[in-house]
Amino acid sequence: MIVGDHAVIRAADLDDSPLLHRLYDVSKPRSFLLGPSREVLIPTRDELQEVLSRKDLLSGVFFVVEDKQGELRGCCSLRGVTSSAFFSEMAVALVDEADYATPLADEVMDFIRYGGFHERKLRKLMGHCLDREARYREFLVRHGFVSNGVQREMVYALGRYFDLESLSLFRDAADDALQEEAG
Amino acid sequence: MTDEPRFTLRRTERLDLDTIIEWLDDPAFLAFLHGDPTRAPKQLRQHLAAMLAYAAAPMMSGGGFYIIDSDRHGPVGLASLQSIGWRNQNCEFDLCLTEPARAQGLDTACLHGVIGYCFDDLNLHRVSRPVPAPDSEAVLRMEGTGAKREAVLRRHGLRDGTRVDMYLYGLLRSEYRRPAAADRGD
Repeated sequence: MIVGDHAVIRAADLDDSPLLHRLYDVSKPRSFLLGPSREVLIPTRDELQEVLSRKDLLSGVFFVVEDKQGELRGCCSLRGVTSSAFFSEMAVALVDEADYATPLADEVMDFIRYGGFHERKLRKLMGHCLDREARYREFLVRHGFVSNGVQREMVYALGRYFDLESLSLFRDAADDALQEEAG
Repeated sequence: MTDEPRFTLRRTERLDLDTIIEWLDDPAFLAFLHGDPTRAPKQLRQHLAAMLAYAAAPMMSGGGFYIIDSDRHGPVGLASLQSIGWRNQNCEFDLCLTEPARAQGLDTACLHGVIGYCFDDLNLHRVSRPVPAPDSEAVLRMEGTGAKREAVLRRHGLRDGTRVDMYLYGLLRSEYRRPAAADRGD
């Protein structure tokens, strides 16, 4: 468990499924919900419980985010991490999108960057956002992510296509930014 | 009617295994299939057999490997259709031709064969293809289909031991510039 000034980040647990299920809202498509073929996946509560019971799958890749009062505020993940990969897809999904502008979200990004670049020795983190996720995009850019481009009409939901933007952050750029912050 | 050879895709089957093993002498195929050159032949065969079994999944699968077949030349290469999203109606594809097919200049016709299969047979709305930035011929061929360079993934691919940028091309069905000889309905 990582206890910060604003956030508590810990491994996801079976008991988290009722609250996590709030994130899987079909009326609010978000990049976090996209599966391997970039389709919006909405698991049932039973499926979510099944996944959360698989410690072998989730260990070290899927975490929940709570505030200091113990209320669940979202989750974060590093996907597709293998020993031969040099990059990983990251995602931060907060229940209230206004939270992306808060110090709580900044602490989650610090955690993701440390886990990706220093613990797993990755060279690049990649993030994705749909064209409706303006606040999430601002959050990624504020933390140094640079746009790679936009895949047009990539995701179908709510009766229309959404564009999917890909952004990336290299380890050397992240380290430079941290050094600048430190003065 | 046209005198041009026609190219179409069919799912791989175990009978294709020997043909594909022959193709593996070509370094381009090894790279395409993500083969590790240090792998023993037995390991490689096992890997391919597993891949072909996966590709032989039902039609509504998430993708796999397909033989590119020509009415005039027979099997000329492999196409990979990955991450087929039936709700999104899109997929990511790539292809690799045999050395004789490349020498005969069949690259563009095969590319259209793969794209035509995605749009006309699978009824997809969009296809995308990652192309290594240094591969200028593949870049030109993709742009000739009407595809747009939608993203540049920096230092994303591995080519001859070096990290290279990858261009991500996207092509909507409405934008597809079909070759004149590709009217498959006649």
